[in-house]
Amino acid sequence: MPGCPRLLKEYKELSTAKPDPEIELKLTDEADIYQWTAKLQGPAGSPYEGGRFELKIVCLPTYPLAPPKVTFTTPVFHPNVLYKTGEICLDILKPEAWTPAWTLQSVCRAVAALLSHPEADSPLNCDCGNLIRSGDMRGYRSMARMYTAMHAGGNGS
Amino acid sequence: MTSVPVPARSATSESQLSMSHYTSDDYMDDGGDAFGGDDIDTVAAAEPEAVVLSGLDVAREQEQQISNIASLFECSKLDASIMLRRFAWRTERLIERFFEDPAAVRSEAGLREPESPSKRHRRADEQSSSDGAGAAEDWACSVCFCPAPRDARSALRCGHVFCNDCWGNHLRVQVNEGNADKVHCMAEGCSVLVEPHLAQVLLDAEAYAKFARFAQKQFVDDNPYMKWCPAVGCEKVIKVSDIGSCSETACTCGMIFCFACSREAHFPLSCATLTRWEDKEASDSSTGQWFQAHAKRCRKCHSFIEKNGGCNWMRCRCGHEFCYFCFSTDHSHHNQPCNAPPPPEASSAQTDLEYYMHYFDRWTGHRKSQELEEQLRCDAEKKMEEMTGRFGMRVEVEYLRDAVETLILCRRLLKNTYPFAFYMPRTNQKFIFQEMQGRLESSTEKLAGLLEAEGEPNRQAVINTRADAKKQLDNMRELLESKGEPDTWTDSCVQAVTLSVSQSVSSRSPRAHHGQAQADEASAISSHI
Repeated sequence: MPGCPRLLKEYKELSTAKPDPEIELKLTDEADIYQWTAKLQGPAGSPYEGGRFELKIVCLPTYPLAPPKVTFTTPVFHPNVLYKTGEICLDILKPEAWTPAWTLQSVCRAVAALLSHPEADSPLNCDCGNLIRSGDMRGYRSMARMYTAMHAGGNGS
Repeated sequence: MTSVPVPARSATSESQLSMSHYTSDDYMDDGGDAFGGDDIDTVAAAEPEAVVLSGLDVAREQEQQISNIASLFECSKLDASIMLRRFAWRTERLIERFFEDPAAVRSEAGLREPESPSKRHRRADEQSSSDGAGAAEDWACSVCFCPAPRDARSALRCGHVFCNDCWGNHLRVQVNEGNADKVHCMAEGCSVLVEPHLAQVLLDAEAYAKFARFAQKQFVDDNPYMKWCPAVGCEKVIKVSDIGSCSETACTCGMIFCFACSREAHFPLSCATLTRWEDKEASDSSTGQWFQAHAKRCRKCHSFIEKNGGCNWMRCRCGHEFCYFCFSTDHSHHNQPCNAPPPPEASSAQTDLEYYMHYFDRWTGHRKSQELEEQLRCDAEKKMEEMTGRFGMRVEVEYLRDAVETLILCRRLLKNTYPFAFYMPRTNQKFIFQEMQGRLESSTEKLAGLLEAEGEPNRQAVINTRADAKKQLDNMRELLESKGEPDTWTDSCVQAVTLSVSQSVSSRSPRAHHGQAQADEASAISSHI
């Protein structure tokens, strides 16, 4: 399986490329190429702005042919994230929609994009989804800002 | 389905011994035991409804569909197979769409204008050299990020080049996921399907065999006219010519099953009513409780689906999509809240339970009998051997086999009438139904008693009882076939059924002593009204 060489390449590219201010992608443990940790900057203009969110990324030996498992380790109030476990509902992380052309970097970008574009119609966090579906965007934003301030170091403003 | 499918056995039916056709009306003729496996006979039956296919036949069938489309669309077989796979082997829909707008169909299937393979390779090479900043040596596969020599790269017709190692791994991963017929190109957003010959080149023999097996499985699963025989260990495929008309289907292995839901034949119950009943039964067991708490049944293929995360829009492996809460299949419902309360159910727990237990006990009882009586088949066969030795004429003892087969049919119908009656409202209709059910039950029991007795059976008694049981079976079937789902049996249509029952009895009882029974029945019915 190509997992190891491919991940080594990604690792090499990440360490030589110019660091991305919004996404910090690192090996969790320098001895294990399959476990990664990412820190996302809350996207500007979203209620998550100002927060730093940690993601746990686990690659299977079949990566990149099978998608990596990505979860939030920082609690997030978002319709497509299960608050308790950090599970993310995102189509590209499902085997049907995943393609091997995605990289860990692009996966992180997709998760950041999900933060600014909540999809309330397929909610994992039903309370959050209901707020948005009922049109209470103000309620949703203030809740999300509060949780960001509580857990992700946002300033809550 | 019409009346009970027990055809007369006679010397003239000899030609049926080697045929593989089973219409729903002649599945009692189990001459298919002599059937060798690969030949499809299309001559014997007047109007074939169901054909039993082996693995080779299925491959031939697939090839045939591809050739038909290729000659109809005047395209290559490869293009035809790709379009067919894109349309999940629904030939009619493909043809319809193709003649509306061939270009749209071609592009939907990921086909470009027809081009020769050599040109395709050239294009792939051009792309790879433009990808790799000019020099071909700099090319790196965008999946493994490794360089690969020119002859170790491949592309589908979309021109996305990857190294052969990655293609092979991609195919292996997809096959392990159970997908072989619809493996996509690895490029992001590209929906071009992998052609089977690429798999043949890139996979080793073992992996390719698996790939081919899954591809064939998907072909059968996708094909609305084909079903796998649900019997354990049977690998035959049943093909029907018309989906609606052939709900009870027989395989050469002896299995008789419902074509729509792949469970044992369950007339008079509809698939949905049987599922309702099974779920009700299961709710008492702990496995059933687990299923109730954690899983729901697909309304199309009736398999259990466990929701393992994500939203409530479910997609079953059979392709059916629905809302996990309300089973709506409306895609626009996907975006709507699903919180309408169900209609309130008036009930008193105690009487409900007694009512249910009444039907449940009988249903399980008959199910158990059915299992035991299926074993009678072997016993009867042994007895027949023995008796043939003494009488010298096989024909003389065949009545025994006919009797066992009739018994099994009666028992199965009887078993299924109990859940059916459970869902029937308490009306005069139900009273009539129960009368007939009672008669079927007593003649079934009588026949069972005779056949289970030790020693040599009483030939005349067996023949008479079988005739009687068969008559009850026919009557019951006729009554049930004239009506729909159990909950629609209301008194408003009682008159019509009374008429049809008495007519059917009179037309079906040529013998004098049945005339009395008919009169009794008619009076019972009219007095009840």
